[in-house]
Amino acid sequence: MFKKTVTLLFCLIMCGCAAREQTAEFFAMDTYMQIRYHSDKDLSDKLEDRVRQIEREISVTDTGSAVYKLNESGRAVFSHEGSALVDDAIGLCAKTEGAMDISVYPIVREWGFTTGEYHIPDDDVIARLLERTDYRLIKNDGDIVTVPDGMMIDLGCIGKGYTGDVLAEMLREEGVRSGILDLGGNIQTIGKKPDGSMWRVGIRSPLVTSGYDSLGVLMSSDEAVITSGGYERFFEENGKVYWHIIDPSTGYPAKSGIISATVIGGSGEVCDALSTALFVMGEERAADFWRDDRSFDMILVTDDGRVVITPSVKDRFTLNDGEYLLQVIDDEN
Amino acid sequence: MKTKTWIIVTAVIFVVSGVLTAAMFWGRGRTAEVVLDGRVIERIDLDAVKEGYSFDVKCDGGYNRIRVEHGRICISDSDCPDCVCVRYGWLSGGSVPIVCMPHKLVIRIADGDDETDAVSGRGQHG
Repeated sequence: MFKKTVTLLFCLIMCGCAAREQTAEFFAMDTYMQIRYHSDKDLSDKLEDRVRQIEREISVTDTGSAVYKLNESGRAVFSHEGSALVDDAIGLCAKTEGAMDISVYPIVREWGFTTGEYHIPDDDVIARLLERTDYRLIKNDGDIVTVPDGMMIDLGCIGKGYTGDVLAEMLREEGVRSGILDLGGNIQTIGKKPDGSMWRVGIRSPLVTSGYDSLGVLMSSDEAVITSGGYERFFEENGKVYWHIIDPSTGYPAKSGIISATVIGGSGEVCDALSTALFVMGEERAADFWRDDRSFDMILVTDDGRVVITPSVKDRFTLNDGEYLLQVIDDEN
Repeated sequence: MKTKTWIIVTAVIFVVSGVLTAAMFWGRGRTAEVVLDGRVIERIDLDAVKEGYSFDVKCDGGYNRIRVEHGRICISDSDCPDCVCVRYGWLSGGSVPIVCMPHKLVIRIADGDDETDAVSGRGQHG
């Protein structure tokens, strides 16, 4: 019995040595990506190549990308993957009733959020651009996508989430059972930590302008945790803050009372889209949306100092910041 | 082999691995790694820093000025367009690195944190 135990222990130690922590890190999709996973194989190049492949199709700045061509000429041929992504995006725009709209891109650009040359556009410029903001006018016929004159799209609101799904799937197929993907702050977890405990995912505090203190910590396993906040890309003019999340119904930065929206769920693509959409919707609409859907969980931070969470998050979320009041959303309609 | 021998073998393995682990961590302070385009160009033991100093890292088309003090590090100046890296402020621990996207520069704490494994909402440019 004792011999068996020791032999087993020996094997365990040896197995532990074979699968070691590997890290892939690179700059892609306008962000810094870091992927940590347990494997005996170095999959860095494979992961990076796959990210670049997706980026080449959906980049808004790469002149060779399908999205660039579509935005230039109103028509482009997509790969099957790119075309499916366009369909998914349109579906999510519809599901959120336009709270997220991939055709809002020209307005985001007009505000300077894509270039860093920030300014407040004239009202009539916004009004004119709003006329061309409507995801329902995007057509996808057999991988050939067309948009009306003057409309442009950006798949950025689901791109990184989708990429996370693809990479997590690749890693799982390679036998990886423990990993954490950080695609520019979009987090996806695979299994648990090698020691069997849950991954600890911090939720960034939206009000901190320097440093990166976490508002709280979420215990996570096999899911995506994606946060949208106004804190990273913004500018101030005459004492007012303007951030990059534009409400597609007004053409102005979303002022819904939510300053950070985190969505937790199985699909990174969906969580990515919903984090933007809920930020635009505001607390009440977001809560109603959740009650109707229930396929995800959320952590909303409001501008009056509350952290609003869905019931099942309660047992695995710890609020660090005592300044906030924790509230659990009412389960009933 | 007798059970006694096995006990001794196991004990020796445990003691040796314990000593090795202790040796790995003994006296090691928080180490900051400065990574330029995927290559570690500086390793700084932040806890061993007594007097503050600054140095410049020349990057593709520009520079980042890095300030080091006891237990902490930051990018104090940069000619990058957005300066998100400067806005980050001091880094002294944690799992969120300072990132200068335009210059492909990352500063991180090696084995930095036990509080979090990653932070959601790092932002579009970081």
